[in-house]
Amino acid sequence: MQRAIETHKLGKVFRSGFLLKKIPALSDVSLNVEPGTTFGFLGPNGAGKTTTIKLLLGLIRPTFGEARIFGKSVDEVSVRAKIGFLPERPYFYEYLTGLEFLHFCGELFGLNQTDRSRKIESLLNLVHLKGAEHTQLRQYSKGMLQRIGLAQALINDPVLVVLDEPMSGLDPIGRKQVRDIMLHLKEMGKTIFFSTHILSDAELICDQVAILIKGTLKSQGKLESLLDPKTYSIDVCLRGVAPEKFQTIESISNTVVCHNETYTVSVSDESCLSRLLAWVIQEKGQLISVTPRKESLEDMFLEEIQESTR
Amino acid sequence: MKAIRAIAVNTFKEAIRNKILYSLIFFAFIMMLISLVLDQATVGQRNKIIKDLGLGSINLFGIIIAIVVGINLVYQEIENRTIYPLLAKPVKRGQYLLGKYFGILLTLFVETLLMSFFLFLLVLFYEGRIDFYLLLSLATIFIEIAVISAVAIFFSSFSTPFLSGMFTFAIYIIGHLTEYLKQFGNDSGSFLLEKITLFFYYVLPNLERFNFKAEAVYHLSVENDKLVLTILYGVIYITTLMILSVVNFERRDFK
Amino acid sequence: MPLVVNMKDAFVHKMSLRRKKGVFLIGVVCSLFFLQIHIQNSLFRYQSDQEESFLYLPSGAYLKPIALGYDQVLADLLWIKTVSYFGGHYMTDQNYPWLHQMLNVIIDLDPRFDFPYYFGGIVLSLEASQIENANKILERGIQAYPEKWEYPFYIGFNHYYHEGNAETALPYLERASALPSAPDFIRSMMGTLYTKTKSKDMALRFFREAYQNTKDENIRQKIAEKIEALLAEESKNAESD
Repeated sequence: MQRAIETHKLGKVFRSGFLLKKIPALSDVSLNVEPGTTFGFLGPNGAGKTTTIKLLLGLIRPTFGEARIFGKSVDEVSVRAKIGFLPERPYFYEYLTGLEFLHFCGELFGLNQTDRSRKIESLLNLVHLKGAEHTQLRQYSKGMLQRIGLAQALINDPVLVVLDEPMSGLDPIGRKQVRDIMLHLKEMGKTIFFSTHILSDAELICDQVAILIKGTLKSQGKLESLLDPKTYSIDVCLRGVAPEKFQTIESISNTVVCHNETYTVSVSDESCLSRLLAWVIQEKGQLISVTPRKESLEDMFLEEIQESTR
Repeated sequence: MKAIRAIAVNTFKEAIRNKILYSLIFFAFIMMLISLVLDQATVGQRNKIIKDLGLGSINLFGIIIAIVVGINLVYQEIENRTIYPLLAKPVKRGQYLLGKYFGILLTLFVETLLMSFFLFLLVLFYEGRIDFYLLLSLATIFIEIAVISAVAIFFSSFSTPFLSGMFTFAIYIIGHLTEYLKQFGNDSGSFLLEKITLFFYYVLPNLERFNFKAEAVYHLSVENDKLVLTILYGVIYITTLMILSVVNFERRDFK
Repeated sequence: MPLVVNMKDAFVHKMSLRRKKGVFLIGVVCSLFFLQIHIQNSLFRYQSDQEESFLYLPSGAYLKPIALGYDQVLADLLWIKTVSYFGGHYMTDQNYPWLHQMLNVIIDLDPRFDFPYYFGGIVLSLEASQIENANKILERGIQAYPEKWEYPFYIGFNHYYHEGNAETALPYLERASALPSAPDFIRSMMGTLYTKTKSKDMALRFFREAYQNTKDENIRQKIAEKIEALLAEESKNAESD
């Protein structure tokens, strides 16, 4: 089966200023995105995520390497018929109404009037913009712009949806709305490739992730396989034990945090845990919760950045 | 073709809603004012001067709008990032640029048409009849405007609006002086200077070719061949510029 | 690694396609360019059988307010146009129907621009034989620069040289010689003219005055010779009476 996205040692050097100074933005990025996956493209701001996405859409030309979408070179215009794209912080023609804008986008895909009207109707429902379609885009809020952006990206029923920072700059409700739409697309079996620097978003919806730091790809793979499965520590929450009693468990744990007469004790492994639990019962304490802490994307992300700056 | 049309219509809509046509009110106001002032001036000359100034203002307004809209059109779309979702669709960059160009032409055509209509009304009011000779000049003025918008698009395909504006304006001025430039080279007696001026004579648009104001106002006869060649000259010049603009535009990175 | 090989092939193929497209485009642009040159040349032929568009040159009085403060620039541009107009006709028919009007517009726009006065005064009279137009421009020169001796001198010169009229020439020469910057030769020229007009009394009076005012020894010598010749002629005439 053809890969949805496939890049081979993709690199980009920008030339800027009067002297055409070379500014490397991206090097040796080899990505593989299988069809049907939701692929999170992670990295801090300025890592080169948007550059990669622009290369994938032929908006800029690679200095090195090549990018293919469904087996075809991204230079081929026809390939874009299968893609839906939402740019970062989208901004559209101010003076068009939402409806006019979507019709315009549909026309660019060569859709006829009836197909467009039908498609737009269902998209407006999907992105919850029914009722706002006759308003000019300059009166749209940020969240509305993001959602009309999603609608225009979906007008051609794309097989691959490319979203650049779809949730940045939105309030929690806006983020949830966008996330729900993405989950809906995932259910429909679309391949989603999206970039973000907000890790919790990725953790919630991604099957696969790639991490880009300073223009180079650090790791790529299934989210579970990238994360260390081993448990870091176990947090035990308890109350009802006198503070001075905690001196007796110094051998088990040295991190005790007290908050509102609730104590959180961190232990490193299972044997310590059973000793701690025995101690709680012995002291007639009240056990609230036991939470194992696994490596999160956040931890991994920080690790990678620390490594690359070292 | 469908994509070009869609982009052209969209550009036109955007321009209209951007209140570009409000400049027409300004034009009408100036023309009214001038004709009122001239009413006090000598009889007989007044009609000529109204035609002169009318044609002149239509020309100038057209050129100014062509430059201002032409240089900003593509650049703003890149600045505002409205171009990204467009070019991420199955639209060739050439199609995009042509669509934009036709969009400006459509805007300028409507603007010129409305200004001309107003001028005809004014002439009808003062002279008692419609002076169809003016159409000749108005048509060639529109070709000149079309050439200047193509020049503006060409420069903005690789330069900033400020520089493009300067370049386009310079071309507009020099374009009216190329005949003299060539003459100057001929008279200079220097071989090198003669060749250089000849080069510019052919490379720069010879905008005086589109100036039929005297013919229109004094009702001078114009050979059909001359008119056909003039139109052809404009069309070929625009075509060449648009090909070069598309080539530039295709090589461009949208950072 | 079949994928990499495949991509490389595609890359080479793409390059050659791109090159072909490039060559094609260059061909198209070049042919359009030559077609354009050809049309320009054909259009040029239409121009020669028609008078220049100076028909359209409005008078400076209208032009000045429209110039929006760029009147000097406009005058300079017109000046360039005028010189090339003169050059063009000098090489061909030596006929300059619009020259004086152009110069007048330049003067309207920029009266302190002095060269058009000289140019008009000399070229219009010597080259275009438009003595009256030349003198009108020079009169405007006198208005703008009353301290310059050249303009009245040229008017006087035009009257005498082109029209053979010493009577009308003399007042201008007198005016020119009265200016502090006037060179001495104007005085001797005036003497000659007075002689020609047969008002010998005037001539004598003028030469005597000139003799007193002139410091240059050579010219004093010449003036003295003129006075002697005049006196000799007078006594000869008296004898014959």
